[in-house]
Amino acid sequence: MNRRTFLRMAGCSAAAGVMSHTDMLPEVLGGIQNACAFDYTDKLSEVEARYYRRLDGGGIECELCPRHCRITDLERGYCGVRENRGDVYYTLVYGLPCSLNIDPIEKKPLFHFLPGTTAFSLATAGCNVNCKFCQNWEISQSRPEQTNNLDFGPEAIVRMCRARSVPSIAYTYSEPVVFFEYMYDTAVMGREQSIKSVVITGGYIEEKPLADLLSVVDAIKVDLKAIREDYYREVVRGELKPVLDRLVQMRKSGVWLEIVYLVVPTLNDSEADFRDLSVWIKNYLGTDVPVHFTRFHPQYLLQNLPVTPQRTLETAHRIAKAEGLEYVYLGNLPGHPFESTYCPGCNEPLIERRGYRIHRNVVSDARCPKCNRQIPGVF
Amino acid sequence: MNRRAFLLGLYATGGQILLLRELVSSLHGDEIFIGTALFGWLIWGALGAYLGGRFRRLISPTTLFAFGSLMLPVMIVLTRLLPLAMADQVGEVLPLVAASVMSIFIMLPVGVISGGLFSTISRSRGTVEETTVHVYLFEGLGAFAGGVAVLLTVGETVSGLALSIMLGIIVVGLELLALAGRAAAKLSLALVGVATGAASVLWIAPATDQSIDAFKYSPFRVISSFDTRYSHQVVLSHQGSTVLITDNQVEATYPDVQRAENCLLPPIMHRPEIGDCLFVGRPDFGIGQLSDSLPDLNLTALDHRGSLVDALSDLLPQATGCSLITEDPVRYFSKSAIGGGFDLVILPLGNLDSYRGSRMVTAAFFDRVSEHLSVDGMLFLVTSYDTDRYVTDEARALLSVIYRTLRTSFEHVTLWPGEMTLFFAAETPLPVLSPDSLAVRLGHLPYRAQLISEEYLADRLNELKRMRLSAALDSLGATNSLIRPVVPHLQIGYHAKKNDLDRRLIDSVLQSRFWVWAITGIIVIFILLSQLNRNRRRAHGRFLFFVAGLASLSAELTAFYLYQSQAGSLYSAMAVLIGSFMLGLASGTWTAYRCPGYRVELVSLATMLAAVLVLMGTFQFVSAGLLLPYYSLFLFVVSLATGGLFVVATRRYYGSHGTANRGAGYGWELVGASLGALFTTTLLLPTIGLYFSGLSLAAMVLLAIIGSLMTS
Repeated sequence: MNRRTFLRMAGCSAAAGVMSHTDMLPEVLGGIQNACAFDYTDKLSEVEARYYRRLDGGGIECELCPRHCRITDLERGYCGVRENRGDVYYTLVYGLPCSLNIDPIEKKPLFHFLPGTTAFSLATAGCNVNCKFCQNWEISQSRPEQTNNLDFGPEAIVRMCRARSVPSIAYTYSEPVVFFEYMYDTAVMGREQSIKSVVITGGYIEEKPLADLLSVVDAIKVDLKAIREDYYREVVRGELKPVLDRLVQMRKSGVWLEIVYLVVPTLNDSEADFRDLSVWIKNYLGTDVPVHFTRFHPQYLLQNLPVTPQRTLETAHRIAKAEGLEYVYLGNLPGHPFESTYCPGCNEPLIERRGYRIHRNVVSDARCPKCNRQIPGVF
Repeated sequence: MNRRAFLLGLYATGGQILLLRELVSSLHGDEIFIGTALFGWLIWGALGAYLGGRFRRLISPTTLFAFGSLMLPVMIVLTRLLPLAMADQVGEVLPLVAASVMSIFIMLPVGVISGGLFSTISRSRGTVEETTVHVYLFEGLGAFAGGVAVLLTVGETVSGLALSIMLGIIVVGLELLALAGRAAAKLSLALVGVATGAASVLWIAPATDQSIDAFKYSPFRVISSFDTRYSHQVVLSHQGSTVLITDNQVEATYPDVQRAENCLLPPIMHRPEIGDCLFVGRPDFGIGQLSDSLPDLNLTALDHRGSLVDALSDLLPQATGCSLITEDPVRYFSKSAIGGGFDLVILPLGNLDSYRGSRMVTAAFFDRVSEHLSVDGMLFLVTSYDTDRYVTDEARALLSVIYRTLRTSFEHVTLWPGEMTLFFAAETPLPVLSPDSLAVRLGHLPYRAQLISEEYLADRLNELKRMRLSAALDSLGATNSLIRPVVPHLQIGYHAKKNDLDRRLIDSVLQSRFWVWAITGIIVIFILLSQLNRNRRRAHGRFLFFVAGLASLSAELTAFYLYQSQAGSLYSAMAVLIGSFMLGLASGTWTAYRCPGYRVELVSLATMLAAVLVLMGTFQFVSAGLLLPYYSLFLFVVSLATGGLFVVATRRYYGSHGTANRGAGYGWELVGASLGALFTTTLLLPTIGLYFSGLSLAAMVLLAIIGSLMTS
């Protein structure tokens, strides 16, 4: 028995002991053996990364995201999960997710993509930006050595999806761009098994890798954090323009696209912000791209900002609708009527949502049953 | 009476306390920065004393008083604004290193001016030694008066900013009054002083408080900006939301259904028969209103601040069925329970970086809470740790400590994962309920839940998440206690994850026991070198300087920690504690100066030893009402001994060495004081605990006694 096996057994026994104290459900107790298959690993992957070039004077330049990090030997890029070893660039998180869950697809949120289904959600450590309001900062701002990782290659992910009849895989929580190779290979394998892939991203990626990714995934949700460059520079520590360019690229590709705009009080919540955003979406992406205005809660570095007032979110909704956007939603406001989908033609309620649950879905063949208008999405 | 020395004490200690209060409030209530700020005060005070001595002919005490009076309110305003300048966004959490640096430099002007005043005043007449001790004594009296003034006024009648302006007016006014010749001039000065003071309290300070907060929180409208005895508070309003800011962080928002439901509904779903419920915190921001929708629930809230401001009643819907007890939670639970006890106690855990927050996560506190519960009563803990999608190592450690600490007091403990991790604790078994059963129970409530609802419960309580959380609870075997405060220590590690430099620093310093041994090693080597020195008598003098510095600052910070943990109101009580410390220091110096002889050394050291040992043996038995006099007395006695030790160390170290470097002794004292200020509460208490820290200090003093006997 090696040290890791011993620790694993000890961990399982301890978990069983704790569970008995914590009065957990009997079926959960019965599931310990299964759950302990989620064995944390200390190893880092050594899979060669894609999208980089060697520099003449030594070192490499990463071409995955607009940062274009120039990395000398044994250094890592900004994301902290891709390393230069002897001028060969490696991804350190291939097959090493630090979070696995089965989430409702509405949690992503994707409202026009297989509504009412679940998505097998995974994330690794690392991110190529540093948003000061990040909800997942504990993993996104960590290196893979600092998170508890599981050894789950693409085959294992697809196998679990099939075993649990989950129709899609979501690359989410942190920034999936930084584990591009793992995401890409899993999506390819999933597609072979009729399992769809959805990407939850900030959209901070270069054109070429995105083009490759769009050929293997089925939906993308982009967190468009603001419509001002200064906000991206100061709050996100990234750039706006590449994100806007990639949004246009995604839209042209035909892959299903939804946009989330997190409304952070005092930082991106002015009427001008909402108007500029809506106008840009209308002009460059079209009016039928679903837009979600979601509520902020104090997180990470922004602890002194309050939750977004409901009235601010309703203002955003009003402005976006007035500018002509057809599918505008409010997020983190359970029970609000603007969580639901209405037909832009006849205003008929099509998908009534409450939180993560669909209470009524009358969309048939992607059309409104009342006026027969086509409803965009994957239903 | 030495008037200027008294005014110096009033200004320096009053200013130090006001700045410390502002600093702690500005940095989210983390008392850890008191240590670094005091370290800064020592450095800047020493620099000021040097400069004051060197340039004493160029600058008069009156000028320094005037300049100091101007700088104090300026620095208080700066303390509120500096975090904005150091971050890109308003109110952004500062990295620990940046906050520590800020805490050191914020003390610079007032520290330097205080040090400069000491030099200029003590050299203004008489022999140097005589007047220095004389100034020291009256400075101590002034310091104590300043401390009492702060305690009695700030948060009660005036804000910190208002008192800082008043302090300046008093100091400069009295100085000018003494210099003014004619009675008419004196009267005019007094009238101007009173008028300016009244204007500052009634108009200038409140308007400035309001303007600073309006600037910080724009475009939110500032409804009220005020100080309580516990912190600086702001009430904001924007587009139908009302926000309570405490210590530069959001304490509560209305409406915030997520928090209100997380606090009230889960325990009711476990025990629908719950009747009497005690909520620890503000009920006005959602909890009280939600309880009105649950007619079977009889809600009582417990908060130390009472009603906040009248303006809130216009902004928030009033909770009609909720009563409020105005008392500190620790103090309240230390009393005997009345009646049959509560069916439910809800304890939202706030900022666990602070001693004020983490003192409610100890086995002793949980034991007292359990005594206030009915037979089937339940303690319900609401934490801000997110365990919805993953559990990181730092969160695992914290959750496991909280869990184990709860288990020492309660037979049954259950958890819910989620964006807010919830703990349920009871003596009787808690029902095992599936999400479906919980949803059915929810359906029977007369309130329609939004977030603790069947639409979310299935996801929140799914098997994988509960399994992951349960496994995390075994990651650390420690429990949190007053004796060994593990939680704030771990919370600092959690906080440090937000910044690379912090993370590296915390990993290499605070999370390693190496430094405990390193500090111990340094002290032992120091002792050995002292004893092996050819001039052992002089070397021992150097060691006494070091002991005086280390013991006094360790004692001061330990008293702060214990007082805050037991009474929870350091923000105002710090004034009297520091005032007592300064008074003791002055009295000890004065006494020792007047009693030459070798016995003073032994008496000082023995007093110090006895004070530390008595504290260790008695602090847990002090009743809540006596905590302030108890710790004030402790600090007075320790500093009395420290003052004596300064005098004897000076005699030993300098003795006949008339040409010796006069700064060397002070330098050794500064080394000791710095170690005490920087490491006592950040490193020693969490790693070796209070008793070992106290015993280590006692052992060091004992070695000093032995050294004194051997070199007498």
